[in-house]
Amino acid sequence: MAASNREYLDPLFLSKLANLELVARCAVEGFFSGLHPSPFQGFSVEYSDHREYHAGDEVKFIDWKVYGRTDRLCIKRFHQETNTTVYVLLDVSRSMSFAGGSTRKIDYACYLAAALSYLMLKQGDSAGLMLFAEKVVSQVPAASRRTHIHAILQALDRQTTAGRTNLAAVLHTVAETTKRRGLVVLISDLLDDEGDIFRGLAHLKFIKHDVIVFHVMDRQELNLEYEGLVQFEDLETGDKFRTFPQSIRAGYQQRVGDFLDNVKKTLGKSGIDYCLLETSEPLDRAFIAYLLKRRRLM
Amino acid sequence: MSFLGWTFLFGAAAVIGPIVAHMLAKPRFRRVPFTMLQFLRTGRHESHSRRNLRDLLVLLLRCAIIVLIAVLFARPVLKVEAAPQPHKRLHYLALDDSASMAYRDGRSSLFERMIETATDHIRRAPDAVFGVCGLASGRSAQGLSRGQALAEIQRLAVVPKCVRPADFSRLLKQAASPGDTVSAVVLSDFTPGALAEFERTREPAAVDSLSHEIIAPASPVSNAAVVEARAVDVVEGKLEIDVVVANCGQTSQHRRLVAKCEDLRPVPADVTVSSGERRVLRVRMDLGPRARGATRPCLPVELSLEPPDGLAADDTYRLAVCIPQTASTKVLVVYRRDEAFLFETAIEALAGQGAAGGLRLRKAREDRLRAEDLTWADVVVFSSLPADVSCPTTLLQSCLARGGRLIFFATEPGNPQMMERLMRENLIPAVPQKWTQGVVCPEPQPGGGTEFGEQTAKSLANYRFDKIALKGHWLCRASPQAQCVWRLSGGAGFVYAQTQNSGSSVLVNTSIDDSLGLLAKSGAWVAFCRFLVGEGDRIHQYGFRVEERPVLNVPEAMRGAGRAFVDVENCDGGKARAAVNGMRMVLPAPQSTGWMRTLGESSLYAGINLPEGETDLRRPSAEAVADAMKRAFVADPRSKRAIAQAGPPTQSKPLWRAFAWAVLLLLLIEPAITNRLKR
Repeated sequence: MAASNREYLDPLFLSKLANLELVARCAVEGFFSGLHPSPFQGFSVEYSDHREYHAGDEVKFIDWKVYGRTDRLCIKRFHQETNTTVYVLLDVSRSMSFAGGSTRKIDYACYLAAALSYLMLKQGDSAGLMLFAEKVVSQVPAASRRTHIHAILQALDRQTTAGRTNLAAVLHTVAETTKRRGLVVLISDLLDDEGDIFRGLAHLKFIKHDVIVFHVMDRQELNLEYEGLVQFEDLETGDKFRTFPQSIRAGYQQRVGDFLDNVKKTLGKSGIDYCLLETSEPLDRAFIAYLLKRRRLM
Repeated sequence: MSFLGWTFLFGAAAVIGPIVAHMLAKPRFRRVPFTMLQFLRTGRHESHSRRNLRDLLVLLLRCAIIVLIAVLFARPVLKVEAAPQPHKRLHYLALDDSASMAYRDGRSSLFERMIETATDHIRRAPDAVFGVCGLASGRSAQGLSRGQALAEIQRLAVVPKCVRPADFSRLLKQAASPGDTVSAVVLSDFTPGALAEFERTREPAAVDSLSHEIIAPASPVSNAAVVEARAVDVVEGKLEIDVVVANCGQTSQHRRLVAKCEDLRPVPADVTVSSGERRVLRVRMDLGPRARGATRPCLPVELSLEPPDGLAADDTYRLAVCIPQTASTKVLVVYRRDEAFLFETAIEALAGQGAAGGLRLRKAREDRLRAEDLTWADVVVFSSLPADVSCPTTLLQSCLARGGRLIFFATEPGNPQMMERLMRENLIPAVPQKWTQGVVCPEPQPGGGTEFGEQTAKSLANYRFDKIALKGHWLCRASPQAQCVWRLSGGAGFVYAQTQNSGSSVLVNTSIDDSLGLLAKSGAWVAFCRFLVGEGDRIHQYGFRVEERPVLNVPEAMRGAGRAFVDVENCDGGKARAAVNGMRMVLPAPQSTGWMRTLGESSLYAGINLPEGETDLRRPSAEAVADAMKRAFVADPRSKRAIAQAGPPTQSKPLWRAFAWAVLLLLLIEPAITNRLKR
């Protein structure tokens, strides 16, 4: 990917663009213009084979050219043109407003959701959006129209972070309310009970949804690089904890590492794609993860 | 453990500072919103308690450093039991080897008799450890056998100093251990001076037994001395010296006083003084060509009484006299109006102040100034800056070349053309440029003007010179060579000076007529004129006593050289260095009588004479001597026994070196430990 295009995927660059549509367009176009003979392009109606006509078949599917040549009534068969319905679940709990550096987690997640939605609609998929914290806060139903992106972007623009994360309940709700099997893209910091999260995701898998989890984390959350005496205040619960971060850094990194390993391992066993994203990282890894998943689905 | 300077232990109270700081200090933290508190919480209690412990350890370390430093300053010593030593019998002799012991009566001197007495004493004394101390020289030896003590007293000699009983007392205190038996013998002539020294003893020395013996001449004392001399004036080419001759003996003296000085003709004067009488004689020495400005201004004058008497050392008094190069200073006052009377009054007052030859005054109006006036004058005073362009600058140049002085009062602005000319020819140190109104006073002390008299400056301070309010001042442009030697309170220059050849020129920023009038009306006016005219007409004289540090005035030629040290020759011919401090030169303290002189082209002399008390040989009464001995010594064996029974003998072992190492070590490791703990 050319360096000039790569900047369109950089969250720092994207944060300077006030317009989410522009963000999505820049990110996706930047991604694709950097790719060479793309393995992801094009889904069209393709011929498969012919079979003999049976009574009850629709007449409109008879291949009259074959009949003219062979005097046999044959039905032309095609690969079914399949559109995937993608449900983007975006975590808007208070913890997503954390910013260790210049980019908040929620902003990064919004760029990601917007860019993925744009990409999905461009690929011909139906895209829907759910914003959730303790429960589903707002919802944009899935549709495949190109103009549907405006509804999604509007919802993203209006979002505000509030409430605590209750991911398990939301996942169960999604599993119960989605009518059509599709791809569920979860964008969250997964700050909830691990068991609940796994159970919610297992529910989605149970009803044949494909699931990608984009785990958005800040660099400070991963490494705890603060110095001096610091009073940490929990964004969701308001709890306070005063310590010298340098004295607990090693233990913290160990525990966070264990947590991430556990999540990755458990989700991998369940056939759920997991992608850990740091807010200072470009968005292309997320696109590649999505498109690979998309290809496997087709 | 005890402390030599225990008051420093109060310094340990400084630990309160870090302790209070520790107690008051609240940890300063910053608030950070965060998300993953569940991952932080593990080990919270451990971190908090360890942090407190670490802070406490750092505090303790710092407090320990402060306490150790306080203890170090208090100089701790450890009292350890000394190894028991066998009790000794000590026998100490204090022998008077002061100058008065050189008195010779018939065949032998008092000192020789004292040595004989001391020898007998040592021979007759029971077996003991001997100690010998010269009361004037301070020479001492202890732990001697009988033979060694006899040899030691033969090494003593008379020194031209007074007795110092404190040296003997100190020796006794150091030598004696508790339990020792100490007997002391004092042999002296016990002159009034020596008795006074014994009576002045602050801490008497404890002895078990004390005896003293007065070494006195057999016949009545015959001694007269020159005890004081002072040069008064130079009149008609003759140096007048007042000499004080005292009869310090018991017989009437008919003596001849002879004043000698290098190649000058000796001047004799007969004198008769009865016992106890002091007479002042005025001796007039014809200076010859030196009266008219000598190349060597310092004269070593010896005033001797002939024929010699019992004590020859006090028959001669040495006085160095520095005569000004000019017998009288000729002052020409150049005036424009009628302000000359201001200077006339001051110069006349100065002339009457006992200066050698005094000052001679001549006045001339500026427009009627004659060449012969300028040729005549040593000091030319311009009461205001010259307005006449025809002022003969060549004659002013020649006045400076002769070593003269030009003094300008800036009462009125001079002719600009003339000012530029004077400045160009280096005749004036500064030129007034802009008049500034406003009350200003001279600063209390002159600045870097080494050329001007410190004494006069001090006397000016007595007249509250710095309180004289002038009505304004000129802002002056000084020439590059000029020096501002005195400033006004506003920072502007008050007196500027510069040297040209061997002469000098001075500008006084008196600003306007009123200011000059205010200055002249003040009591400081005469002293200020003395300051301006210089010290050229003052006689300096240098007569000192043994062990008194001679201080000489540095000659002008030497001042210019900017030397910090001057090589000098001592009375005994040895070489030493004298420190030059501005206008003063401090010579090393002499140890014998004679002449000290600076080495160089024109030597300065300092006469070194006997200490004042050593010439008085009046015989003391036995009661007075006994009283003096009681003051200097405590002959009470019980007090010593009490000390002996108080406890085992102890020895003090200094500990401050160990404490210093401990402090140094703690200071070195403190940052490392603090960093380690706070990590």
